Amino acid sequence: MVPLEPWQKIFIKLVGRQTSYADIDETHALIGCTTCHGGKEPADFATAHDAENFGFVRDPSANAEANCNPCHSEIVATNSNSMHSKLWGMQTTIAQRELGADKDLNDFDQCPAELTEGFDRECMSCHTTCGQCHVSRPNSVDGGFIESHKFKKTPDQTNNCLACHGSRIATDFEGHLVGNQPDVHSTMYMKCWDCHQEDMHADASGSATRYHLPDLPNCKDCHDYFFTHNTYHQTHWPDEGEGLACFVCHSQPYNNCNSCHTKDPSGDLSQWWQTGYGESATETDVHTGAGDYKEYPDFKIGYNYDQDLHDGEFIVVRHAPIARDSYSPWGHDQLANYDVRPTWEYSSPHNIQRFTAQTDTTGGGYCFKNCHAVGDSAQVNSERYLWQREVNEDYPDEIEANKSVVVDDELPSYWQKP
Amino acid sequence: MKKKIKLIVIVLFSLLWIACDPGHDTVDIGDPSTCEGCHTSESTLKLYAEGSEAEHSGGG
Repeated sequence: MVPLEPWQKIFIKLVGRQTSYADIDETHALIGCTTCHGGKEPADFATAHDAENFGFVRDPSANAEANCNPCHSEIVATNSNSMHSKLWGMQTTIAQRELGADKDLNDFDQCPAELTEGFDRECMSCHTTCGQCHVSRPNSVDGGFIESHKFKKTPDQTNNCLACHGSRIATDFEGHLVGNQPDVHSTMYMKCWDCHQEDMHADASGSATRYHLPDLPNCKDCHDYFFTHNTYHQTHWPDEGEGLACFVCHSQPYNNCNSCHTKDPSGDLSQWWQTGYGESATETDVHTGAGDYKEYPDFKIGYNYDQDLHDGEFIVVRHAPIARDSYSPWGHDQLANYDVRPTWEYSSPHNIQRFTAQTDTTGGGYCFKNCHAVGDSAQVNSERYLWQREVNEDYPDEIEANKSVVVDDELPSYWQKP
Repeated sequence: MKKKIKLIVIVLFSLLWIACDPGHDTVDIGDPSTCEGCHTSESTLKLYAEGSEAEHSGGG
């Protein structure tokens, strides 16, 4: 994403026959700048932006109840509990890793204060206000108008959606990893909302994670079995507890993250994402940062540990950016129940291709030759799976956490292990 | 005949193009002591950006 100059971020560009902001956004121009932003007008620079005496605010929608009501009252009411506003999924994972497997977002407030306060201070700092989706780039990329302060009903894919969902979704969808192709849906000029038609403003307090949201996209909504019928789909079609998740065959390698740590609250929080998640690209496409943080491409097939939630007996798993001591900078040395959730979690990579390393049958033959750990290519194919041995060697602190994901007891015993 | 149709099409598209041409940017149109006058003025914003030591707004 190309950074904006400071003046560009707040520039309302009039073009052609436009003579005022009213020609850009007739409706919101009626409200007047100071009604939402406070401050004083007309005035000199300092007075106009005086927060203390005239109540100037940069992002009025941070207080949507006051500034986006009454016009958008219904949306404001539900959005205050939406997944984007409250990060319910993060609350669930923290609650479970601290309090136990049977906990969820409703128990988050029972976590120690250093976790709940740190969550409010750090995690919530970039999730999100109305304006950060409908007017400006989000705070996580330092803001800036997208189209001259025009309120856009549909957010901008690049400047809004992918600005936040960058390291994984954007990287995958646009094919940034070395050796990858862009997602086929991207090359077909499809946008996020062509698939994601769930209500982003809906009250999601009943959804433990984002995968529990109603009306999520499902490949099968478009790719009906009868229209995609072939031997491979007949054998592996995903269903509850059987078959393969679509991603197992049709995903390319994707980013994984290790050992992400929070920011010391006594330090400079203004740029926590740069110091906490800083990166230095190398020719191997691995990014490293503060602590032991590492971001790297990989592809792993794991056992579906939650078959009530996800179709398929086997799924694609991604290493989540978590460690037992991720929150130690907040003063919480170790997550008390770290082992109750896998650190290799279900994933839905946005880098779909019809022909991938798993399905490529160039030169003839069947695609199981690229996937089943038998025969001439057994060693190569075996690397596609998450085995106990790999966890033991590379993630010794996560053996217990990933017992439900490793494939050792789920694949044929004659398959070769790495 | 084909040439005539081609010519008519070109003329029609040219007229459409001219009619839809947004023209040049119009900046520095307002009173810089007002919100809109300042924020629609590229030159004023640049001046403040260079002169101000305060943390820049992200335009949230």
